[in-house]
Amino acid sequence: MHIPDGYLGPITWGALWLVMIPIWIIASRKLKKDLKTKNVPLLAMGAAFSFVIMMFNVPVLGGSTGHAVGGTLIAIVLGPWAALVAVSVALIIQALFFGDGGITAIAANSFNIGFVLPFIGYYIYRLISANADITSTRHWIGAGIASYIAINVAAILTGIEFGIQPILYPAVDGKFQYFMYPLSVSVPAMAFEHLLVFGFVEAIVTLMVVRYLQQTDASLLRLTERTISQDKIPAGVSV
Amino acid sequence: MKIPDWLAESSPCPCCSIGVGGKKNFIEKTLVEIAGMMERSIFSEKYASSKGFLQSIDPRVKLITILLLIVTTSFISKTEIILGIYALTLFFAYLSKVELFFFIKRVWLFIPIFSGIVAFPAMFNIMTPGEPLVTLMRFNSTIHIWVFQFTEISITKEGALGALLFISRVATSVSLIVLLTLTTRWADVMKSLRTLGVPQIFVLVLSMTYQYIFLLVRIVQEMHLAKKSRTIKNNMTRQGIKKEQNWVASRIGTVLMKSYKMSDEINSAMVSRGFHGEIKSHGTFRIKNIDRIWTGFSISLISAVIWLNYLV
Repeated sequence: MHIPDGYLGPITWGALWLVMIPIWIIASRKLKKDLKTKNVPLLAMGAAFSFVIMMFNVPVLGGSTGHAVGGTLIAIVLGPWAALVAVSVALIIQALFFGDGGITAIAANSFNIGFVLPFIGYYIYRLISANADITSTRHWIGAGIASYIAINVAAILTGIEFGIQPILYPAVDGKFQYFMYPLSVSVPAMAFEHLLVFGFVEAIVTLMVVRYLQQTDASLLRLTERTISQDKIPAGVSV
Repeated sequence: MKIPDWLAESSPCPCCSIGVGGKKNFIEKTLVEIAGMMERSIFSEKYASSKGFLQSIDPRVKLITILLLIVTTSFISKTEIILGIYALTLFFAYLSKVELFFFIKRVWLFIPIFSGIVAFPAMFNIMTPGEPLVTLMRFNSTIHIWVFQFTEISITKEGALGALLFISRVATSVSLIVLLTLTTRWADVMKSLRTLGVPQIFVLVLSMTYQYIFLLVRIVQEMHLAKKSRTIKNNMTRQGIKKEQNWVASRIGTVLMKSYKMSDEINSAMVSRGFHGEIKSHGTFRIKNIDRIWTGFSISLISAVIWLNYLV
């Protein structure tokens, strides 16, 4: 799902840079306020984790394997703004050092995988698990549903970005400049494989990890709540 | 010390499927991927520290010029020009003492092959109508499938040229970025990002992430090696798979807990050494004559390419 260079024309990747730069600025302001000096190591470890989670191959029926993206999981633990920065950093490192995902497409990839995916995943999870006890089944069920929906929305969005290329850059002398298939091909192709395969891998991993955290270290599922509640503590009260 | 013959032999061991050609299971796949990643980063450092042409250029200058070239490549619409830029990357790889075979393999093994699969259907008349080069199949009546309709299956000239343009653009962009990272130490690339206006805090997070990726990957590798050494037979029934999925999830959870705990410890370590949110970067770069020549060359190359593409 990492878009390489050459798939999107300048209008699309340029527009997504213009969208992402203010979002990154808002994110860094928000995190500076919430996390103070702690943000640097926390974000670095979050980014390293989001890089490493993609290295885990998950066995699926039929002997094949798939891997999760983990955007929803990181958002559940660190909150959506920290997830945005962590995933973006991981994407930049992948693009720069491992040739995975394009340079011009860094903003496009960050928009789909770093912004849309964690935010949708996080809010659906919070909606389903609202007011539930930390040991409640609603947490992992919510995590599974949220991650499934989030990765599919991100995939369809990628399909749309691909599919508008032939509209923005019609064929010159019969040949297309960038991604060449219309929306009627690109969106179903992206949706199909994610609805049937990768969406389930993502959901299984997210759900099982949340369950594992519930059993071993449930405080990790409470981090975002804690930062919110700490703000409400009146000045002068020591914690 | 002489290596005994039995150790030097490379016959595959009967107990595991690596090298036997059988399908790798998820543990082996992860291990192979991790080994590949480690190998790539080791090779990068090796080339970055050898004395070649691009290695001698100031990292800031190199970063900006190569990023500009990638952006320019995105705007070019003529295949010949893109292939020309590709040929230049090969030439500079050679001047920078990067083995050409290694360079080509590294570039083509990943993204362009995948893009080849993407571009393949576009060669046919169903996707790109035009002058047929080779006709593979002819039908008596018009065939309707979904949004497509056709009376024959053939490779068209427009389709083939379009696919070539697409692939060469992807391969050239990947070549340019690989050339940058092979000839520059990652710490220098990170520092140079400051000159592009990337905020200091982002650069610090980026460089810390890069270091801790290798630590976490090492942990993941050990987890998988431990699992592999204790596995005799893979249970690939529905129940077995569920158990394995649970194992993967528990390991991901463990890595998550470890990294969270580690971030706490790193924070304490940083604060106790005087970190208070501000960072000063040490080590300065100096612009030399070769940097001026390279900048001049890059600017004239980019101008020439734009001129050839839009005005000729």
